[in-house]
Amino acid sequence: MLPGKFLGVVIDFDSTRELLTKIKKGYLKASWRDGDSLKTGYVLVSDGAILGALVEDVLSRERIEGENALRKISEVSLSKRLKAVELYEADVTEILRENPSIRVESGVISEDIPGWDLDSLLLVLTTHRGELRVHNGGTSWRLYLDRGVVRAAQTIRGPTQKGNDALKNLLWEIGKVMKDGRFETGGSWEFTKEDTVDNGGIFKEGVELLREKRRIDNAKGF
Amino acid sequence: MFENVIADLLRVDGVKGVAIVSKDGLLIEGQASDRTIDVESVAAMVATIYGTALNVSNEVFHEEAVDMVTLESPKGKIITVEAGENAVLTVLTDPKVNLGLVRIYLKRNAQKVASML
Repeated sequence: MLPGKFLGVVIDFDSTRELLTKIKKGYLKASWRDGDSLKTGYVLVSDGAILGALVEDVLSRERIEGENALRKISEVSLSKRLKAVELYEADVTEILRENPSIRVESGVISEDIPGWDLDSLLLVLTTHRGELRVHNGGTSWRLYLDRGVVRAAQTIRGPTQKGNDALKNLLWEIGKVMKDGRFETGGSWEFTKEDTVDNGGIFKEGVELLREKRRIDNAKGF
Repeated sequence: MFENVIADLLRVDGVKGVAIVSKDGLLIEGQASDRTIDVESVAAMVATIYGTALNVSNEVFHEEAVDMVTLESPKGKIITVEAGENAVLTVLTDPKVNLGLVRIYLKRNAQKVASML
């Protein structure tokens, strides 16, 4: 169990990632049943970035730490098995100093974002470092994001495209993705030179413009 | 929904089972680390004990409120606190459990249960 000041319990939540923004410095804690056992997961956060993760088996006291723990929590979160999440304020630096093995390098909780949810997408585009998958009908893309910039792109379903072509194709289809598609945050992807993108900031700018357009349309009552 | 509460209490040394029980005796959620414990039966009995304690308190102290009910036997303890208007939170423990620690965790988690029900 980690030290911290209890802030509250959240029951109705759509996304675990959204909860992370509610804690400035601290952690979120959630427990779930795993067969006959009960597990508790902790995700340590500082200013929106995930810095550590830990999963403990309540009965056997076995621990999974760091990236593996975050992967496990992501899995449970994706399968919607987290029913209540507790938020704690804590000295994250001190916790990590005492438990260096729970530190994570590429901190992200895998989640599904519906295509229409541009606010959540922009939050991911701004903070995520790692893979983002985009699914739309028969085509899927994988992007490597680096906090606001797309470093690499390729299609993983549909016509084979890499690098600038894949990103251009995605921008072309973005309207459809927003209507019927979805985004999925993932872990890390070791892309090749062929996959690299020249102007990777354009994707986030495009999404920001679309969100602005939607806001104006809504204000006009379209 | 109460996995966090159950996990918190089961992590305390000496706690063998946890149950959140409606005051009419239905198990809302519970878990025991010892498979010989039938949590559902315990839930029904705990509600009865708690109800009786309320009656006694009312009769003797003219106060229909009980902070905590503790049953001590040579083989273990059952400690129950109110968790909101319609439920109680109870733990089954070893005889030599750290009662002070259990009480702190019980009170803290009873508040969480009350806020969630």
